[in-house]
Amino acid sequence: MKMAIRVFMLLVFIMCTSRPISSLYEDQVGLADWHQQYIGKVKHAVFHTQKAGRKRVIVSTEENVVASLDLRHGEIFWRHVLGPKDVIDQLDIALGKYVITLSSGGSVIRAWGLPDGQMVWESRLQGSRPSRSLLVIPKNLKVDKESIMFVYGNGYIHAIANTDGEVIWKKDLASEGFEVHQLIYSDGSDALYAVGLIDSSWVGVYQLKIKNGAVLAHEKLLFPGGFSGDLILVSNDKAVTMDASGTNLVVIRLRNGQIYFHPTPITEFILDFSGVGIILPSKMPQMFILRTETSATFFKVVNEDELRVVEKLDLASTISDSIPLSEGDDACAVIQQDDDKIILTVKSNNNDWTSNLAVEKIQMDHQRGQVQKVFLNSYVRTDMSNGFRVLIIMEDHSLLLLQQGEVVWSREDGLASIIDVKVSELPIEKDGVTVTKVEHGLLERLKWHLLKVKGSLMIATPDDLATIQKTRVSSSDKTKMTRERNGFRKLLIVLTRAGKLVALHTGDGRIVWSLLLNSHWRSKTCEIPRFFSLHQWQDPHHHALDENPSMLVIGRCGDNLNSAGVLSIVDAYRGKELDHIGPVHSIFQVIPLPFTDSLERRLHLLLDANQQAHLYPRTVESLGIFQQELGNMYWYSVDRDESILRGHGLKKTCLVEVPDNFCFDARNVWTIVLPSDTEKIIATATRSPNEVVHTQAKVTSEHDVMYKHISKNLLFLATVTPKAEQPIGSVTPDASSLTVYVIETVSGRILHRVTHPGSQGPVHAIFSENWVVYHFFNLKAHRYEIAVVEIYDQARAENKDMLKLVLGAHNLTSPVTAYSRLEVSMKSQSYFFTHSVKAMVVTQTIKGITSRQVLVGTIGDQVLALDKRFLDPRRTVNPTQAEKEEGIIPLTDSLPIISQSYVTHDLKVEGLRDIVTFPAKLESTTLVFAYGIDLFFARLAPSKTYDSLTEEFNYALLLITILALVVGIFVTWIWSEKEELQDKWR
Amino acid sequence: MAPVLLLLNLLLSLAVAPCAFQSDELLTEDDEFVGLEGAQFHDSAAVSPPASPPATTMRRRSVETGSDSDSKVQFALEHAFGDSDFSPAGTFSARLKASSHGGQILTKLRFSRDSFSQAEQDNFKKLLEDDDFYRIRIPSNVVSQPGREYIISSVKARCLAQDALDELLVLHMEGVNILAVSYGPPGLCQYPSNIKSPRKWSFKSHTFLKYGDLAPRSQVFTEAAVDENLEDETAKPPEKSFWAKYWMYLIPLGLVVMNAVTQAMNMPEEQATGQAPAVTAGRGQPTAVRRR
Repeated sequence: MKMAIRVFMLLVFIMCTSRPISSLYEDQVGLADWHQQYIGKVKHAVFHTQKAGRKRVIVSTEENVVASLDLRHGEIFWRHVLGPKDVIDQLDIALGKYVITLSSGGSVIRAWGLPDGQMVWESRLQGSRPSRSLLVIPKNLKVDKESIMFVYGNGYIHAIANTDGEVIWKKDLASEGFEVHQLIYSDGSDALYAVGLIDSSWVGVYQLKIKNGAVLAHEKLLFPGGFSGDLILVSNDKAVTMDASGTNLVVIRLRNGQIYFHPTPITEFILDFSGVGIILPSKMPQMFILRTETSATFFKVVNEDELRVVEKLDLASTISDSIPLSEGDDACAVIQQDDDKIILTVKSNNNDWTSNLAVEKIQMDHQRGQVQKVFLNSYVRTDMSNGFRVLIIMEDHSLLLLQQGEVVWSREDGLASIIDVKVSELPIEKDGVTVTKVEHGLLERLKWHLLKVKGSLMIATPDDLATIQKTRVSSSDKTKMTRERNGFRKLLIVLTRAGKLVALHTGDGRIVWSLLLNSHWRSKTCEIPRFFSLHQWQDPHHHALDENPSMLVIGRCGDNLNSAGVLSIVDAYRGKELDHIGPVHSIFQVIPLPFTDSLERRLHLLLDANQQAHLYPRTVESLGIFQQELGNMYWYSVDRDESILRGHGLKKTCLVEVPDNFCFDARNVWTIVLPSDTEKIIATATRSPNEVVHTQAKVTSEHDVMYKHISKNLLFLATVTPKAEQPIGSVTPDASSLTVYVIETVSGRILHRVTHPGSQGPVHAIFSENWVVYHFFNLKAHRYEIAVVEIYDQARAENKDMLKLVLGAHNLTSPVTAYSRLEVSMKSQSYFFTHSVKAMVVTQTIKGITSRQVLVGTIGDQVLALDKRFLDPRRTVNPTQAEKEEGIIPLTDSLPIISQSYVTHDLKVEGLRDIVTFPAKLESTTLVFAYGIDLFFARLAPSKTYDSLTEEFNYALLLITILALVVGIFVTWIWSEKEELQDKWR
Repeated sequence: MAPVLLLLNLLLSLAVAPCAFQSDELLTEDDEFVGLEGAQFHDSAAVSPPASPPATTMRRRSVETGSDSDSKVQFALEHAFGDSDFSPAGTFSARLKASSHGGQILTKLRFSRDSFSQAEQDNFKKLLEDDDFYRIRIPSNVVSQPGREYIISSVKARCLAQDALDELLVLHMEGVNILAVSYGPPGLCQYPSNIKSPRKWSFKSHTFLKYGDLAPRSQVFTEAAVDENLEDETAKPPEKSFWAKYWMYLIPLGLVVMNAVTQAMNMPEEQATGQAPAVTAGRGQPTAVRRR
């Protein structure tokens, strides 16, 4: 009996302690979320392999990241993201222990510790005018026992100490219009040469004393006709450039302070030369490369100033800088592409560059496009010969390391520059597939459950715990390629700046498929495709289920708004381009319409620069659907430069030379002209078109009903005084004010207009349901503020009578027209907020029942979830009991930041640009994807998961408990029977 | 009759004003808005001069009366039927007054609306048939007309065609700039379209001037208040959720107690049973007695 009670007690105890807990524990991180780190498209790479235990490559990227990568696996040792305007110009290693970066147009120089990435020093270099920036780090050059380097930036040449960044001397050379193209320092000499051009027609050479920067000699010589392009150095006393016409190569020889010119027509070497040639910057001794429209030609400078063609390659080849191998021996890598193979040739200057040190053929994924940059590095093989590894940057911005004819590792760094994200459902699970899988893994499942039981009974060994955690994180269930009941598994379709469409699985963030659209789009008529948005084209969920969902990718041929547009339709399951339209009319704005055709293709209206609207898909059926709704179609445009808003409707036809049924002219329906001297538009926000609102009314604590004014046609607009557009601190509170508007975009009526005096941008705003939340800076209080405006409908305020509702004597069902007089009331409040904000979004759930959270991308690149309850304009300092029951929080002047409510935990989404949320099928849960240089995905339950047991729930433990209880009951029953029997026998 | 109507209008506007708009200082003053029935019958050509002349006359006038604190301005309302060109349709007149915040503001707005000519009536009927837009425009700056661009607003013709032609114009102002005009019927707009044309071809116009509001200042609580709040917040939870906080200790404690109690209850019994043989050996009598 006693035993039975003890067992029972123990079980009850276990049951009590193993209750599911609603907050997140350390071991739950990574279960439903993932974080990926990227660096962006690599611009410079410096290898550090000599005598280093850990071989690494230092890179700087177009996303302004400086990073150290593991050369063995491609992992990031360390990385730093500089500010968005702090563009890295030069990168090098000094003294074998510092990484030197020169950024911001040569005005900031920093040194980072090579092993750990700690910043060692930083110097700001003053200058007179913007110029190119150059960095020369001589080996073993010491001035007064300090080893120094030379930096040219902002028109000044600086000598900087390597160890502490102190400027030893600086010299202004910009005064005479002299622009330095090259700094030359040959080891052991005591002079630094600065070679450059004056007004593109004079060549100037300065000889500076390395001790103090004094000019030792100065020479300049006029070249009649002038130059074009850069001065490329081929040796310490020879440079090559093109003349102004671009048809002659000019060798510039500098000897004993004298300058000599030797022009040679290109046609002497390339017979079919036409157009303009460009000399590529490549650091090869006595050599340079001339790129023409048809080919790339290697030239060698022989006998002082004669030119000789060494080799001619086709255009698609990419050439690396040369590296020294041994005494007087240099090598460079040439990469040529042959369909799905790339051919790597390492050439050496032995035997006049005709001998190849290595030729390797490497299979390459077609979706990576062409090689854009090559960096060569050599190593000593086991047989003491030279081996080569190359780092290549592909068209899709990915980074690959090739060695011994293989891809050692690759990084998908195109994902650091995502432009747009859309989500797609996975295919439905087919019968039969799951059953076999479950049977197959039955034993494993049992084992896994046993382990879990062990874990919850706290009798598991550390090894077991590790296994449990590993299995949980890499559970095959969440990475399956099929749809799931809760809708957690989806495909994230992302469009990168390189023009690559990538599908990521939400389970673990792996790449399911990728498609390089850039190469599909590039043609004679469309030379530089630019991508700008991604739209859901076909999302079958009713009657067209056998169709795959597809995406519409929209781009332009060039940077100009007027350039021709291109459209692609891509299958979301297979990643194949289904259709390609273009180049067509220019694309200014894309409006997805709330109509679909019989194939569930969404109708899209594309506006061009001439304010003409084009309907897609171009089918008779879609035209029929569209023409029915033509009269109800309105949109607005915001002219930020002129501070004018315009509302537009559609005409029935289009005035073009070629009759086009799918084209419609726009008509101006309304105009709002803001005074341009006092108001400048800085931010707009509208409701997300697919947002779901569950309740139209809000019942207050006094049993009163407030009707929300819910309209999809509302626009939030923020303007500031023109001066207040400058960064914070540059304008006084009196000269700055922020005005916010809520505008009805069909009729162009201003519903709400309020001015915040002494405030300024940047403004981030979200519009959801009937409320707007916006973030701005209050100059008077020196703090950021978040304000909320809620819009309530007064016209329906009287519809509270149940009897009327039953009898139909109400106007709830009457059709609504935007032209009726609107009677709305606004409630607003504002609070102080600690963080400045990079992005702000609101969570979306499938039915809109779950309370919403505002997700704030903070300046620290984290995502903070803020309950909407804190942003309730009805908060008062002392809420009544009834209000408290309703959930109104007592008013505080600032919004609380609870450290547990960081969605990103302790991770950082470096360079955070935007956050997107989309609903799962489970009402309580929403999916969040934050992107910048890093990617972060998480599952969020703003009101906790009230509608399901968590995945963590231990079914096995429950079963065992029940079993044990049943057994316990039987045992105790038998025992008690026995006792009774014994008692009776007594 | 006219004063009664005016009063009625006024009352009507007063009645709707508070619920439609945030109460505005200017609105509550009687003379800031005027409901005017444009009952004067004029030939449309004769009423207001084309758009540009008033600008010059106005400017001259403002120069003349520059010494005064306020001066009169006039600006024209123009209308268009569907996509037709704009033509004059009425005149606003108002006084410019120096604002307390600096700059000038517009007060005492009056509006005289021209009635439709026969051609315009036909145009309007056509709009009703096509369910098309009746469009109006006014200058965006009343001092240097027409400003950078005209303010345009449109409404479906069916919305205006009630018994007479009802219209409500709300001019959103910022100093002497007109930002926007909310134009439409004073009440509901009929839907779907009714082809019935109005009986009277004159306008019942209601006009309002509306200036922007200032946002309320964010409340800054004094240190003491904040501290108080903080204390409240820290003090409350343990009180409230004592059970919730300590249940994990209380339950095992309860269990231990229960266990101890049961053990204590079992103990005598066990002792009795455990010591039974000894007892029987030692004191045979009682058991013997019980058996009996």
